[in-house]
Amino acid sequence: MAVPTTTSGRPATGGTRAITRRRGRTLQQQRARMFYILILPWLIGFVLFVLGPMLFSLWLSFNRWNLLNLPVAIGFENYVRMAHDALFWQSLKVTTIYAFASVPLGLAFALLLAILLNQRVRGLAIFRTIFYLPSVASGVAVAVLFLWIFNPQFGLVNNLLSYLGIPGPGWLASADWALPTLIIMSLWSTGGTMIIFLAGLQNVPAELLEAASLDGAGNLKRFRYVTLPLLTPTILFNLVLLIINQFQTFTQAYTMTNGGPLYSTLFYVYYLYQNAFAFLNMGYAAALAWVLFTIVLVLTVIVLRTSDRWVFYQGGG
Amino acid sequence: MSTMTMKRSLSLGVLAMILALMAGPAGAAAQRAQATVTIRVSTWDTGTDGLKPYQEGIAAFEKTHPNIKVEVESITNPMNTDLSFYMAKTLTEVAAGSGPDVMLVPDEYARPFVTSGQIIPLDSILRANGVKASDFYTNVWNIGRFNGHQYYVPKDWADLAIYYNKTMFQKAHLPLPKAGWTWSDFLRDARALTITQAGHPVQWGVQLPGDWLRAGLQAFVSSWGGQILSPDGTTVAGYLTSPAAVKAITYYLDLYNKYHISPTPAIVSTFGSLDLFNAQKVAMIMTGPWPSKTYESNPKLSFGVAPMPVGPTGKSVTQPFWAGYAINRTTKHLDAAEQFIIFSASKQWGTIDATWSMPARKDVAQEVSIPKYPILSTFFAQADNVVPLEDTKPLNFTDVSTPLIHMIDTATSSTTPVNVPQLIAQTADVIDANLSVRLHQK
Amino acid sequence: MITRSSAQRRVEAATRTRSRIKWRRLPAQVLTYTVLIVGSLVMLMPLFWMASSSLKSNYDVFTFPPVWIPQPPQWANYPAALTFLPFFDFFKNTMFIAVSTTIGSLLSNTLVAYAFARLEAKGREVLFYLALSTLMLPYAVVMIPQFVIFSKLGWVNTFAPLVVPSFFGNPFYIFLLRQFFLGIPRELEDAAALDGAGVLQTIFRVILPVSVPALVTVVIFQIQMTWNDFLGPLLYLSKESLFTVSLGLQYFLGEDGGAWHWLMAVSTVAIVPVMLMFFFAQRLFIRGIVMTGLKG
Repeated sequence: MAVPTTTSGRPATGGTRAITRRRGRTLQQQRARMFYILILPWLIGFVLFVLGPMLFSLWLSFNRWNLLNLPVAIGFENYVRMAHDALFWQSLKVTTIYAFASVPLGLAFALLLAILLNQRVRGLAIFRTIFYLPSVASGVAVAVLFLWIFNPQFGLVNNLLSYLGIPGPGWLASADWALPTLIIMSLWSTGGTMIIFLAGLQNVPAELLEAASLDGAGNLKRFRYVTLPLLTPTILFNLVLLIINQFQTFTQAYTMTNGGPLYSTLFYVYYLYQNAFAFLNMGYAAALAWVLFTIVLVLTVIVLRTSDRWVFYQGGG
Repeated sequence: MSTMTMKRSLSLGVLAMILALMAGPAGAAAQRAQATVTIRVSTWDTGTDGLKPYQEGIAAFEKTHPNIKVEVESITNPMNTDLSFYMAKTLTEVAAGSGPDVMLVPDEYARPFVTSGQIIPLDSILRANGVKASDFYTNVWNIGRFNGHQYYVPKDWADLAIYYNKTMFQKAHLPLPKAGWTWSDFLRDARALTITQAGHPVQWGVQLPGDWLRAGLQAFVSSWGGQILSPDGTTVAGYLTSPAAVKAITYYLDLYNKYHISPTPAIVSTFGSLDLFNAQKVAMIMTGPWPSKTYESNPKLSFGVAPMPVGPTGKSVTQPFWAGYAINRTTKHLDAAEQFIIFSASKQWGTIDATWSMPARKDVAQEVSIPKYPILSTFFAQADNVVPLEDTKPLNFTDVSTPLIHMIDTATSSTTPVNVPQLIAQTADVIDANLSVRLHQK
Repeated sequence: MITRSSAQRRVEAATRTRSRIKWRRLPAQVLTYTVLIVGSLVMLMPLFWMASSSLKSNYDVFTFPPVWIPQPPQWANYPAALTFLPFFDFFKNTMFIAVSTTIGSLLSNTLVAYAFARLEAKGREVLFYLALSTLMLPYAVVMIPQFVIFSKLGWVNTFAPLVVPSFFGNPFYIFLLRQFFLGIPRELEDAAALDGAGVLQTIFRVILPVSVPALVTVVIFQIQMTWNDFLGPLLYLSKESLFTVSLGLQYFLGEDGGAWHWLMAVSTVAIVPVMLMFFFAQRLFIRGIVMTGLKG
């Protein structure tokens, strides 16, 4: 078969590049144009609803604003103050520990659940629904529930532990145990992460798994050499999103601990909200927001940039 | 133009642009709708009791003011938290220039709203409509007073008393608490009513307010005749650190650490919204009138209410709780808003509101609240013993409260003996630093 | 039921003769079921407590030791709670927002994600990071300027601020769908291109049909996020007739201590629609996907 060529004389490879040229534009340029057209919905929305507020908040971080009067420009004062703010460092510490603990735990747990719920078992639909439900239940009811369960005096967990003869710790009443308790709790609502893994597992072609088992590979080998590599795009997604989300954890602090005991659960965004609406230091809150933003952005870029080494895209990436 | 003025102009310019862009369409609409005017009134009354009387009151108002419609914006404060969604929403709206016409403001935010000029003084309209301060409980009315002007009309109020579980007292053969009892009576009762089994308390004598400052630290300090802040709210040195205040705080902390008659704040917060008194796990609780209806509807609970114990000064004092209505400076319907404010100070409104809370009007209290809700009689009886509210002294009370809350939390969770005077002195330094920073921002 | 491919049938025939392997499967099966059942109990227990609390009197909700089966069950809590406030209206409102934002999300994000996945252009990577970065700034600091924008547009006290932005993409879904699209073998698109399909046709005829799990994920997430969204409705919906379920639930928490039994009742009911939605949606998560046109 004769190999068609483009105007530049270079042989076209495969079917895609030989297709229609329009008025001097290569297919490549055409596709680039399509890119900008297709991302318009996001771009327009970004400009309309997001860009302005983001820039405003950045500008605000160089101001002092009590929400009731006009902002007053103060240069870098907020950032200088942050460096000396013990509560800032505390909230950063709490949040970082929480994120670094709950992200890998959450990923592993959700993946395990997804694999479990991808087996051919009876009542699969019901099991899947049961494991997903907790992440749907209303925040207030869930918070109340867990305060109850982990109550050191009369809660379920310590009751059970006492039957085993183990004196239960103070859980959320203890400055040492409060954060670990919240980390444990975060596992209960990994329903969302699990769903994404489940969807990712659907993309592992049955043929490949069958071929592998025909070659004599057991379950573990099949998982390691077929499923896992094909799951890496999903893992990357969940990893990045978990990082972004866990650094902005807020709900548990306000519904359950108010940042205590003794600031042991003072989450960064909770401290931010306090500064914004309770202490009426909105400018400082904005500065806090942008510091968090920078940290999360750097982490995310690192993860995404190094992802080429371990992520395998079936479609060639 | 100096750099400062230029920078200020820039900020003003940016914000003015934003505000002007959004003020446009709303202003035109206001011009057109002269016939019926709609005003927005905000509140955090929700729950199963709070909103219905409110709506009744609005209906009564609309009946007598047929050309005014009132839209209630009601946002609850979530339980067990110091972060207020009500304030977050209200402040967002105010910052955007679209705050409600009439706002309900809690006592912690009373001063910032005044200082910022976001609410207008009410003296002239109150005078013009015959609203007299003498109709109201003086100490409650005056909370809404700043710099010689009246900025708020009290919606209702509350004070602090001690509920006691009759069954538990009778079982322990203790005399029921009554007016004139002292802190030593209180301590004796609480110790007798704290029961432990195998080293674990299964019943506490009292649930102390923990780090809830108004009911806890501030109540005790005022009972010892002290104050935490200077009259102008600029410092705590010499006040929080005065001998009276130190004695009071030491006593309070001893109740926790020495006598163990109460669950610590950390423990209490793990119960979430569970009311330990309602669940009969504590024999006494120090709080306001809010849970009284819940207690009354609990068939297993037989209880009474005693006034605050007499302190070393020989007097029984109590702390006020307050919320007030104010008119937003940016309201486009000043006349209608004023009418609403006047109505909120009326006997009619007070009577309807009395089904839910303690009215600030003396006549409504005497004629409606006490006869209908005898359980509130103790609370009203303390009206003359209410101390002035210190929360409205500084520019922003959180500068004072945050370090104090931390102090209580630290002291009550410490496993080693606490040097209270030293702790107070350290906290006082932190507070004064906060106050100083805020003052020099002006 | 999952239909079996010919390859699958071959495997099963082969294993039938090896009884050893069949027996080896049994402990694995037992283990799986055990873990699933125990896990289910752990997951369900708090929800069960919620449902059981909904049948208690208010002062009995928090007792210790906890009462699991209330005697007698207060069934009246349900009609009482649901009629105390117009909760059916709240459900309707929430459903409206959920459905419209789901449609908006599916429409906009599919296009944008495909562009990021397959269409090379200058600045693509930067724009992707930009999109992702919008998820990293805490809502508290953009809350007010966004409120000003929507206020200026006259959208306050309408559903618009909650619905319209979903038609303009959401970086969360953009990233999600991008990952899925990147995992689709290029041969499919190449084949379509050979047939003369343009970009849009490729998307609708080739990409979407094999992306069903990803799209279902978007639906599940969007409905659930709408259901639980609190801050958005809090800021933009002041009229009670517009309230969503999450706002309505807050109503039960008053200063008097709250009507917990009613809160639990409504919370329990609120779970049901989402639960049903998920139950039916997850059926589309069928193990393995069928890839046509690859063989031969």
